[in-house]
Amino acid sequence: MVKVVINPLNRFRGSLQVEVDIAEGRVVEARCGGLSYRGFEEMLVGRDPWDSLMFAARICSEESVAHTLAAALALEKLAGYKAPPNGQVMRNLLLGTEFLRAHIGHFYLEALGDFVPQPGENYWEAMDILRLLGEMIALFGGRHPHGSAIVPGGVAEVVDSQKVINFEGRLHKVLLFIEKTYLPNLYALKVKYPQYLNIGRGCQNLLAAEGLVLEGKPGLFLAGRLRTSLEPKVDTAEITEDEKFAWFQEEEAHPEKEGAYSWIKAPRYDNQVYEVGSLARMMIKKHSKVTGLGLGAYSLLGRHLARGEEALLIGKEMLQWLTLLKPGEPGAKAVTLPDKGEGFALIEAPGGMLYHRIEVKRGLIQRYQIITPSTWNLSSRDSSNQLGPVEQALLGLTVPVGQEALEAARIVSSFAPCAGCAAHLITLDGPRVHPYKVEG
Amino acid sequence: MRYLSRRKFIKLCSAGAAGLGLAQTPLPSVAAAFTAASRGKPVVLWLQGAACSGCTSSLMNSTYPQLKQLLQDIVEMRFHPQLVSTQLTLEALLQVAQEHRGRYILVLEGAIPTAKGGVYGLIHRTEQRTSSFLDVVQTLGQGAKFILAAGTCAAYGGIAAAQPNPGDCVGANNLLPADKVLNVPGCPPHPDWLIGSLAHVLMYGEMPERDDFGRARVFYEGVVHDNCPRRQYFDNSNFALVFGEPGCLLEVGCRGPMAFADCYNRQWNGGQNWCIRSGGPCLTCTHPNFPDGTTPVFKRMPNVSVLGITTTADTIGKVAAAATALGVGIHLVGSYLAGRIGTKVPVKGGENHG
Ligand code: SF4
Ligand code: SF4
Repeated sequence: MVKVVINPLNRFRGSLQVEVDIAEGRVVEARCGGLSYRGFEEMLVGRDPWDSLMFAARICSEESVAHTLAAALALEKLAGYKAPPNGQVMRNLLLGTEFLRAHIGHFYLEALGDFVPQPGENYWEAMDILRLLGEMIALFGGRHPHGSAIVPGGVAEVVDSQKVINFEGRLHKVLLFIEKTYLPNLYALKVKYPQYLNIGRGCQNLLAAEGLVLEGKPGLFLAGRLRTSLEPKVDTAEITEDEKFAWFQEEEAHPEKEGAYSWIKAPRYDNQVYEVGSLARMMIKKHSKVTGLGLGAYSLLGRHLARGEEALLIGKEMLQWLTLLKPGEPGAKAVTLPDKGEGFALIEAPGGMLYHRIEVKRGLIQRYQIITPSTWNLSSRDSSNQLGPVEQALLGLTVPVGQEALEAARIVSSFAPCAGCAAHLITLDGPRVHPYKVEG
Repeated sequence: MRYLSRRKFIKLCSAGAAGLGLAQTPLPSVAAAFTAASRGKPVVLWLQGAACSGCTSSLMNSTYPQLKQLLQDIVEMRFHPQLVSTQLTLEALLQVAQEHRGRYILVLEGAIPTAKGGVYGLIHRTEQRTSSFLDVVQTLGQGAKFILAAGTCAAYGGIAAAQPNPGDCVGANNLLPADKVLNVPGCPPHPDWLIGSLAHVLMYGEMPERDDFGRARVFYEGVVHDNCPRRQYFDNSNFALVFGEPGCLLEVGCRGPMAFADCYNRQWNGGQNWCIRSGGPCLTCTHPNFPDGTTPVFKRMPNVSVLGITTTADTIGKVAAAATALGVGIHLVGSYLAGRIGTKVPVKGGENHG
């Protein structure tokens, strides 16, 4: 048996190390470990609830808007407010832009290097597009990354027609890039590597929350769980977390823990392993370009294609949202937070389902919980020895001698992993303790 | 361009145009100057520790030089977690560092976890060997010609070092020789601050003029509040109480009076916007005590006592500037702010966000 450690210091965001054991040319064991821990949930305890916005943004620069928005929504839930229409639309535009930036960025910066030796013109073109997307986020969010304009109550930025025009002009360029470069690049991979529709299937359980929502309309993404059949709702009370193989013990970091191999815990829904992200969203939404791949959707290539098709879908929808902006009308309303209470948000971030939950007492944060998309996908195994989605995707892989690391790395990369934000402390303790229901 | 004097360079850097004022000089000559100054394209090794990758995202937003120009014509980025496409291993990194010992520029992004020998930030872990970010920073720090601490985390600990800081994260200054470290704080830093600071050490082989916090003065000497487009509102006591209202943002938490940075001039993302213009408060993200000494955010700055003078926001910036000029650390200003977590800051009028 050979043990292969996949630990390039680049192209996986955050420190991620994947180990596979190979016997007779097949992967018989896989371990996916996050190797760094910053501890945002610990940091937030005892702080002013408004501080959660600034800290949340800095969990991950690729999902800065999503985290800030989740924090703001949790505070709005706590206080019983909703953003005015302009605020909601600006939020969707900001989050939509972040999806585009994450998907395009992941493909060209992190994945493409596995398939082509040198960055070509498309790569540099993609870099220009990423810069434009950053400018789009700045237009309504203040700056990219980590602007301070998303707040409970809405978005501080005031809509005027100049901003709308500046945003729209850039969006058209981005859409053109998606249609003329990104998607063709993806489908060229499908032609060149058709076998990649057959590997990296993973757990084939998919989970998504409602995403990119405007009040009074169904979200662009629908809540649901897809296993053998589709269950069109998600209930956070069914989410539990297991820390058997993570360096935590009773909500304390414990880096010397015996047998542990990751800073990333094992979240489970109804005790089952679930994959989150574009594949989940597009399958649950029944997007024909992805469902049309049949079983091939659950694959290394399926995930890349799902992100590409999703980028096109979101980009086009954003053009519609722009028409809903009303120059001169407010983007935010005044919010006063109560001194005590709870709030939560369950949204879709570029990488998948994102959960924030805040408890406030005497005006300060008592407890804060975050489950990021990568916590699901990069999850370690659990007490009943169920492997996480990435681990399952590697299991059974037949690898040519000398190519073990490359093949496995391509599979891991197809999940757009981000280990930096996946590690977190607070456990969703025991089953069914949280009384929240999210109907889809 | 080889002969671009330091004075001229600094002047270009401080230009308020979008992008470094370098845009006024043709790029090939900038590139040539870099190459000439460092006898070949300078090798840059960029490492990420406890970070959100925001500093890299910000670098990618540079408008002049653009990322492609920077990476193709100006520097030889031999190591970067996202911007180098060949697979990089720890061995390869150490080897490049060895080959270019004494000549490479080390860029650090993110704080350095030091607790328990660095176990909160491992980069490699097998039965045979465990390597932490701390180990690598120490090794590479020795051989670097200059070290750029990119972002507030790398410079002073920043977000990663916020209380209770289980990993004992610290900034580069706590670990590496200060004479080699140039701080480029900001959460994230503006691409111009990054590239301008890098350009200076590359082109002149020495540090730019630094303030008491190890930052290049040219980017960090102005106070946001003193140069703020909303300043007139402040002077007329016209405060926004709801986000999106016209008015000074003090009541909704602006920390502009304690922020040393030139955002008011340079703006962000190619001049599209910046925090205060968007109606969001300045979080004073370049501050050495960000975030513990600068929070709670979105709450009015408390009245603070600086150098024995009780002052309110309108004078704190000036006092801080004077303190810096006198060589007195402005961390005084930061630590006087009752921002330590767990204590409720006496808030005047800021409780209700309007
Ligand atoms: S407090 Fe902030 S918004 Fe008001 S004038 Fe000063 S920097 Fe500008
Ligand atoms: S305005 Fe303030 S928070 Fe915004 S980038 Fe400048 S210093 Fe940082």
